[in-house]
Amino acid sequence: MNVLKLILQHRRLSAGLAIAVVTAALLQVTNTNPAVSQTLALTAYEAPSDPGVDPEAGIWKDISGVNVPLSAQAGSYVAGGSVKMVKAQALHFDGKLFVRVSWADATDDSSTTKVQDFADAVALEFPQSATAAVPSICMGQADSAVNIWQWRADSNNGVRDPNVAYTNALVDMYPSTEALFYTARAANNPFAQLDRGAVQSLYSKAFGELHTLDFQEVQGLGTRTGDGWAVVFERKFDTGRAGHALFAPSTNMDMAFAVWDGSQDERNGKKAVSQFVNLSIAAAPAVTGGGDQTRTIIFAAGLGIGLVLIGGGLAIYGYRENGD
Amino acid sequence: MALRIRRPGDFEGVPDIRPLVWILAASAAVELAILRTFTRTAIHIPDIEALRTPYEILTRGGEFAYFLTLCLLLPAAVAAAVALQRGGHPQWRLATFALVVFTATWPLVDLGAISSGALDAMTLAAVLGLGTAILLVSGARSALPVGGFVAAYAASAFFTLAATGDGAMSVGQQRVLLNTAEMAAVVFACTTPMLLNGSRDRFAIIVAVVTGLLVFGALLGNGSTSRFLLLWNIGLSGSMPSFFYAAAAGGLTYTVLRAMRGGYPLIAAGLVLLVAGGIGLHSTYQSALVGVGLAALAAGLWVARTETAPSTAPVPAATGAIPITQRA
Amino acid sequence: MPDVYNWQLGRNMDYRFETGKQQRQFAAVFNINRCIACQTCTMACKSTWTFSPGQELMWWNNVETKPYGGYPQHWDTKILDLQEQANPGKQTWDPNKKDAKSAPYGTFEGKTIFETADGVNQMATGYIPSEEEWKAPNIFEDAATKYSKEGVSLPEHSGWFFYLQRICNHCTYPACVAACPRNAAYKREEDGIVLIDQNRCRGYRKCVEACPYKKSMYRPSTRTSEKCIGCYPRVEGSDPLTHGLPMETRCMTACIGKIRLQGLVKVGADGQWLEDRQNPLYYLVHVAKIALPLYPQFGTQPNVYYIPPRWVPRNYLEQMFGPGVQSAIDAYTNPSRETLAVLQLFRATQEIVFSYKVEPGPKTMELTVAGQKRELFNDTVVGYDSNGKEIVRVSVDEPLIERPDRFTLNTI
Repeated sequence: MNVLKLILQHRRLSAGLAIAVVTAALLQVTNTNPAVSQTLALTAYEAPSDPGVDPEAGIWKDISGVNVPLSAQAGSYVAGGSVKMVKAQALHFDGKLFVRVSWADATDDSSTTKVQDFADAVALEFPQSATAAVPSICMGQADSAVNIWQWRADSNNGVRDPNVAYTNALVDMYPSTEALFYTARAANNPFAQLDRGAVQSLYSKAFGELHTLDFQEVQGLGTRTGDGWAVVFERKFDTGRAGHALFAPSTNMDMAFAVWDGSQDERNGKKAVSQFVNLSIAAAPAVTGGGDQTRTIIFAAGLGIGLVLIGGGLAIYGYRENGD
Repeated sequence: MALRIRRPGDFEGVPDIRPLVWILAASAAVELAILRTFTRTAIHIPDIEALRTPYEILTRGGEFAYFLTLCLLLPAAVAAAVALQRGGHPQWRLATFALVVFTATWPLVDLGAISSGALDAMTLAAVLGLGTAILLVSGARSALPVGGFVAAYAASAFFTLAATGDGAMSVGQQRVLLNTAEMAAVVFACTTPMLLNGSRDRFAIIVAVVTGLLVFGALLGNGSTSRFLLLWNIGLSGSMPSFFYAAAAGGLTYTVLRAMRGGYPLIAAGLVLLVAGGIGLHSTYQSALVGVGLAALAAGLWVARTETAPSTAPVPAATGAIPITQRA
Repeated sequence: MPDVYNWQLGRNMDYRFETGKQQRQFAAVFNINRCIACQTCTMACKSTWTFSPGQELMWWNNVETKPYGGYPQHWDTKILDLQEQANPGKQTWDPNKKDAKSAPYGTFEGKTIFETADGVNQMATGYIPSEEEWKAPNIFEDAATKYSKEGVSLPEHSGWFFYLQRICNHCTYPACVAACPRNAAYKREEDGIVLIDQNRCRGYRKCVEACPYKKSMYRPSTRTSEKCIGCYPRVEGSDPLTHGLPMETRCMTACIGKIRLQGLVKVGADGQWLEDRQNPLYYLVHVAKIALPLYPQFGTQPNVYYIPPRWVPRNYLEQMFGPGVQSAIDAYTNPSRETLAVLQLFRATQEIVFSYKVEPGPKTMELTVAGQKRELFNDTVVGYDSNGKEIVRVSVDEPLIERPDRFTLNTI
């Protein structure tokens, strides 16, 4: 009775609420999210020609990128990594997405021949499907998996047997060198296979549940730059398979970064991570020159100061009016 | 008192925003609790796969709360703008203007009419405008909490804007912005009790202390997850000692409870909305929560101020009606 | 974190997992006194499991000379040092807090490797030995503490060394299992053998870091970690020789010094060995108490037990095997009739002996050992397989067999 009375008392509000509930249900059922991300934005412009996976390709010098802080939020991750920032750039061409990541790392850790060696690595993480809220950045969540592309410096070099890596090694003999005797390889561990490329496409929806996708379609290559690494990832927008992130022109996608520095014993959860940034796949070609954001900042600052001035004026006016 | 207050049903042509803001705040709180907190920590629940069905139901519920909040945001923003505009005090024109500008920008971005950079700028401007308006009206009392929030928001937003483009800012400069945001946000949360006058609320103090201790324990016990939630839900990095966050949680809990129990529902709702919205630029959804939250806070503070003002204080001009009444 | 019972420490401790639904536990007794470091076990293992590219530095079984040797170098003193740093001056035993059943050697009052770890970056205190430390598996071979000009005599030699035979301890509370973030390392329910799932491993080397005995090893050619697999196909009975019955591992059966006895013991819900009086391993560890765990203070409850060497300074041995050293040496020096009989089971058969029976024999000798009068009896020990079928029969006195003066074939 009370409820009915309340509804009758607030007829307009109740009607409005009913409309809101119906609209919300409709949005949920159709999975339409009118909200727009306002976090760090990385725009993938259309490239004039195929950029390829070469990180040194000239085209990357002409487009602007975004500097993504890693564990900028120091202390967020107890076992956090040591790399502080990555620069990300993105392009697309002929239905393929290209992401170039570069970061500073003084040591080249591209061999994992010794037990104490850990490889430098970088990973991109995408929600596997668009949901109302982005999934947990920590390896996804039960109802919202993530697709991870990981490049590793040792895979980039190719996995080699120690007797090959150590050219002066003296070995009497290996009685059998068939794949069967490379136990992990024989057990179909994707991580232990030869010639699987520098990048692995992985899938996760919980801690400790990370696994390699059966179908590998991400290409990638890394090169040492003067003071660190530059890595390019390449993949078709749509692999047509479950578990793989799906891209399309004129859409947005959440995306996160992780970087491992091998010389700091970084592997597994010991890494530097970013928050999700917003990858926007533009339909238009790149606009050269990176000044637009600076203009935005100046615009925002100007607008803010302007508002404060207007407010101040109004306030003085108001007080005077009231004081009369 | 010269102030004339009408019953909620008495309004003629001026919306009473309390019920709408309250429903909005409740819906946003549910969304924050389920979608942004529970589902992101459920990964730690052992054997979560066995609880698949209840988990699904809860998550769908959280998702619905998200969409409902989304649907209520625009009407709430419009209602708050109209209420502030008709509130009879000229300072509110600034707040109204800021809110309208932001509200109008959002659909434009969805339509692709303006760039996301412009949207970010508008968002920041709206928060600055609303904050300034509150400061102008409620004065010194709100200087620390509202100033803290606005400063934290601005620093964090500038960081986001500055990260794009080559050499816009050095890593060191970006860190200064983040640390400023962090400190200002803690100042905001710790000083919110200053927003309310009057006697202490013992019950609220007890609950606040318990909440503070719980947060402290969570940060010490499972620091990684707790800090991660802090970062994702509130936009704080958790780089300061745990004590500060415990104090912040305690301060906020106290103010929200006291405001609810002491007859300042708009202040309570406003604070809940600010927490749900978080610090810095995340999405238009969270930005709108902050916008409406600040508007609700403005309205609530205005009523609180006029109530406690001596009778000689300036009376709201013109109509003399305070549509955003707090007490019947 | 679950609270589990560790009888070797005489107390409860924290471990990442509950005690499992395990049925049996892989266990062994190594008699250090008899080892001559011929490394036959080492080569038996190597030539069975680790002869391929990437396994060059991998020795799942090794025999090292103590006190200086170690594979990897100084593995034990390094862990002891880390533990001491984490809990200075308090890594001590209280031998008086005893209970015949649940704490036969007293109570360890210090901290285990699980208890000194932060639980975030490390689940167990440890370190990753560098490649150089794995490269000389028999470093300091036969190096004694000093040259004793006057010769040496019992009970403690002035200059000493001894051989320590090491395989994976297939611990009840394995540090490698606790450390693996992907749960790739696991302990089998059927026999307690600890394995690394070669399909799941991603080579993080958390197990290499956590295992205090350093028996998880990295293999660069597959970028994963491997470890002693307890010859599980043999323990499962897959070898045609035993017709489906459990068989001892390669390193055990190859032992020419007859120092090793391996088997499977029954385990209760709390992870502890169930009373099984006639199981030779249960008898040696829990009844005769002559075999002791290696570094029990690490807290993993290892399942390979050692009969300590009689000639080594007791303080060194107590650091290595806990407070039970002196009584174990006493019981070994003057063995009971039953102990002497059970010791004959070592390397008498390849099949796993699940129970034994001693058939009394006549007195054959009277002698004096360390001032004590002793009598020897020619008892016979009979070993039975898992079905209770007799598989071996050995007497204490070695039978004297006179051969004919001429052989028709293969005459030496």
